[in-house]
Amino acid sequence: MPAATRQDAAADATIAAFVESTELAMAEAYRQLAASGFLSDGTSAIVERFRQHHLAHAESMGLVAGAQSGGVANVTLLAEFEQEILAVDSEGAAVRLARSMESRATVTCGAALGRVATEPVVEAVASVMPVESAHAAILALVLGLDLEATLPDGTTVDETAVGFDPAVYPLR
Amino acid sequence: MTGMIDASRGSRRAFLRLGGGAAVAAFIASACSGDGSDETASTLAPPESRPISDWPLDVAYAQTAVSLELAAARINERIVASGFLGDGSIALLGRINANHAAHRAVMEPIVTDAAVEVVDAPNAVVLAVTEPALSLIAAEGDALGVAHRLETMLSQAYVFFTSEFSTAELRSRSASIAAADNRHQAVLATRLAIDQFAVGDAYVPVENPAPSAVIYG
Repeated sequence: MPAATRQDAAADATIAAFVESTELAMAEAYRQLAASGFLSDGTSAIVERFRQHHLAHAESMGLVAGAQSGGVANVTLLAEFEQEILAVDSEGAAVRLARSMESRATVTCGAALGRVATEPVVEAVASVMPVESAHAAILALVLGLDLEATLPDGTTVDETAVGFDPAVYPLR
Repeated sequence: MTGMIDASRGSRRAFLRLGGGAAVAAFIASACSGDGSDETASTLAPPESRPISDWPLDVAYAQTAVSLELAAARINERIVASGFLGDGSIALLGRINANHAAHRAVMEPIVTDAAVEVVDAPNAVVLAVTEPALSLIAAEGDALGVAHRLETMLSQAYVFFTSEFSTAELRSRSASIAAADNRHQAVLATRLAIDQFAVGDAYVPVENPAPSAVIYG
């Protein structure tokens, strides 16, 4: 990669801090889904593992965000998740919500990679994005979806997913 | 593509790979030789249009990626031809190969736009290192295991390319493919585990997945 500028580094740290906040919101959403009482033991195990992954992702984003790291869940995004969790009334509904979160997180990482220029941030986002995509695929399997839904077109993550937008879910 | 790659404009890490003795993975050698306010408010908006790349390593990575896609398709065809797969697994590999064709179509324009040698042969190194496993397939689990290791390697390779490409646009392309390949490996891993969902690790490593035996330099 060509060398990044100091301006790039500041902008990238802001993006990393935003992604960190979304990862923490997802981890908390998973905790609440696990506590909903609708999940089987097998699905609970998957949800707990994914929650741990998102905590790990948040930690890596926080590291590259440096001083801009907030270390807290995105308030607006978490509030939205909590409203959606309140509407969950079955395991299927919980898994559909989780799959939606993962697809949106993957799209968010893709959008972030379209902007960042500094090597640590590029590497952090690049190493996380495929895992979130795999989460979405596993949740599709849990839901019993077909191959087209589980492995969508190879050039896009999920055409219907909308990434987390900092303008909608401000960092602070 | 022939001749030396000028790494002087690249990142320190890429420079060390080229100049430090370890050099670029043989994946690349194979491809190139023909062998085979609110400050965050707008931060995720698309960047302005710019040339795809004028950086030589980008083209080498794209050539390598095309050769990997061709190798993946060839290997998956061999796995299906082994005769050990059930209908569900055959359909799965068919879907995966359709994705690989799409991935190739995403990476090829980087090569053609650079007016360098078009890659039309599978990556010879990947074919060579996979051949022993292919020859030992004696059950569906063996076959899916080869496919799973292949997709795991591909996902990591694209994460590596993502970390090395010089423009955000190329990094986005590469990352999208890394994500798709990691979906492949997750589904294959789940199928291998039979009724257990393979959750995997929290990260895909950014290092080049090529084993040391296929590194030249």
